Amino acid sequence: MRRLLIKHDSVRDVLIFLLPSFLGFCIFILFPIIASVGLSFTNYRGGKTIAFVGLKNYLIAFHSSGFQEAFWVTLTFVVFTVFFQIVLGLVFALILNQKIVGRSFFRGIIFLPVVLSTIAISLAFMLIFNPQKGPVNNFLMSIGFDPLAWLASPKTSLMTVIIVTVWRQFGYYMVLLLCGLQTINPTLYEAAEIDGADSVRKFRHVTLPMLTPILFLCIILALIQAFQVFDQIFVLTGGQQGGGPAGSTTTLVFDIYLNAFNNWQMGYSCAEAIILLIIILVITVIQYKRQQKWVTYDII
Amino acid sequence: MRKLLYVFMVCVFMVAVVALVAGFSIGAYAKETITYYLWDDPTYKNIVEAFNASQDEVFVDAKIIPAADYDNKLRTLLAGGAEMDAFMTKTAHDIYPMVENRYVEPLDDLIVKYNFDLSAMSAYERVYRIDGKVYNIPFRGAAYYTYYNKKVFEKAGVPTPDTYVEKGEWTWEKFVEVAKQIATGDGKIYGALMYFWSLNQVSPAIQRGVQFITNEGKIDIDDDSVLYSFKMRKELEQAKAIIPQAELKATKTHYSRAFWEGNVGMLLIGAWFPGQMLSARDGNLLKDYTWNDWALTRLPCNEPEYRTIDVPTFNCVHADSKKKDAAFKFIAWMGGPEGAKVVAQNGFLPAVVTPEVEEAFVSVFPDKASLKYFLEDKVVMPHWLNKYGVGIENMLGPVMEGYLLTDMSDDQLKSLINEKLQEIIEITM
Repeated sequence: MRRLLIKHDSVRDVLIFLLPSFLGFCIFILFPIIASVGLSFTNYRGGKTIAFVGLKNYLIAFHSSGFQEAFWVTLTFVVFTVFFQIVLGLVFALILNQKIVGRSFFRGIIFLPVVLSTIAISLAFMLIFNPQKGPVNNFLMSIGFDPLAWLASPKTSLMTVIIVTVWRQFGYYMVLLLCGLQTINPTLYEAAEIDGADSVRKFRHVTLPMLTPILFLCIILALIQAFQVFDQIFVLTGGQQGGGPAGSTTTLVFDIYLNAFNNWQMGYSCAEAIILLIIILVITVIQYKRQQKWVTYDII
Repeated sequence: MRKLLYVFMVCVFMVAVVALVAGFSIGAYAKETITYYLWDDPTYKNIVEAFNASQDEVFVDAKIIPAADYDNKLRTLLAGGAEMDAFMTKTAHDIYPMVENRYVEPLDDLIVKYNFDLSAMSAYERVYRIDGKVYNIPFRGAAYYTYYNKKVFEKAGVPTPDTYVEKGEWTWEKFVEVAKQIATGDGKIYGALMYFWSLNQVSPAIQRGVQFITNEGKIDIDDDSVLYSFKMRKELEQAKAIIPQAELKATKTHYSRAFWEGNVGMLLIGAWFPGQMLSARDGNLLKDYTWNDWALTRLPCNEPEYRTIDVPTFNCVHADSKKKDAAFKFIAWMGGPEGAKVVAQNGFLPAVVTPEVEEAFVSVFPDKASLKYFLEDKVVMPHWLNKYGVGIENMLGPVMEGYLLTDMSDDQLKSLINEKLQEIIEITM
């Protein structure tokens, strides 16, 4: 009987197993990015005619009041959502790390919005925040407060979108931070107690430093997600009709969508997308460089 | 064994011959199927079904997209090279980028080949002829009217708008006055509903002929009528005489639903609305009033000669269609006298008005006066019909919202509009 000898090439095997994912990455992420870079230097409007225009799209973007307004709206959104997602995630992680009754139930409930569809959540909150018939305003009026305009006013619409986003997402960071809390060596707390540290000092000098690697990861993820926000803005503020009142919820991604699909300016919107990519890249690189100053990787 | 095999082969051959002959026979009488994109107004489905039933050559396979998503989905389908033979265009000025992108087929040769009479819709030449070529066939006429709920006026003790029309007093100032008289001021009854589409924002300016940006790329703002439009809307919203624009958007309230609810005195909207009223009647959707309690009259107008606003709705043949003749036959039917009758029976003003169309309209309106105003000869002013139109359409809404909801001064508003128009000119290459 012949015996087949199979020669194992581990590098080749690894590459073969990685190939499907890599092909998917190339087709759905890398090639579109390269195409966007190319189109950003053209006047492409989605049709069969295209002409090279050099840096014109980028110059227009930097001068455009629409782009500048979208940038500030995005920055406001990012700062508030990242801050509240991380802080609330940390607070609830600390609470639910204790041995309390119903701990598993509360962990599940808080994480549940993360797995729900953003579209479904946004539609539900659109009804909840209805300025005329919504339950939130009805409740406010019942306790003697004036109703708020919520999504119908430029003063409150962005805040409303932030509330919905934070409500949906903070459970995800809670879970990550909970994992981080559970990896902290208990002997560090024992040593701190022996040194006479109270809860606040233990939190400041043991919990926080040991959580910094996970916190760093959470901040990076939250930042990237916040810059890319689209779904809830589109659904909550009537994306087909141009978004929130007076452009108050028009973030950069939403502005890209409006220019591409409402204004037929696909070349220009590609330029906006590349600018956004560079912004996110720069912030991420800065974060990675600065992490050495505040992230503790010592493991005891 | 060999004999059996021989018999089997002969049988298979005979079956194949019969099937081939049968196939040819069926093919000779089969309809040619075309793919046609439209939005989800139920009356359009009726019109397509009427066409399919009226002849044996072409079958229209209607691909229906929700109205709110129609524009974006159509643009995506066109950019993605989706297979289609004909499509309806919801936003008239989209025809300019569609022509530039070579999505639409010039119809001049087909018009000559099938002897289609365009003269009956010469009023819409600015819409269908671009750079000397015909690119679409209008099927739905253009005009805005004042629709009103007689019961609301009765309760408020205010004369209905047609009273002022007959006296020649139905101006925008009178409209504001009447809207405030009807409104209860607490949001329970509104004097009017002015939808958040851009042409509803600046109707007086469109009646004046303001194009915002000319074909040559120059800013064209008659400051008085544009500013007047903005101030009028602000005055009405502050008096709670109209549903606030931001609220309409935030609650996704459709103008038809709001009018059917019976708490809006007047609605300024286009010539397709009688069709929606028919749907409401048939679906028992009218609240606190009946079919005979609504009517229509002219749009308010400050110009010396009465003029209304709007652009027609039209169909195009896709440039990459392999069934252009069949597609043209359909859109020509829809835009021609035969299709016009069906369009009229479904409550829309067709692009071509014939005596048969007038007859078909009798059952669509609650009274003769409404029919008279609906069909009267009138000047119809189009809005921003050039390659900058898309940008203007999308710019006006947020600017209006900024003016309505903040403390923007008139000078700041003028400066903002100029700035935004300049950006549109730069971006539109």
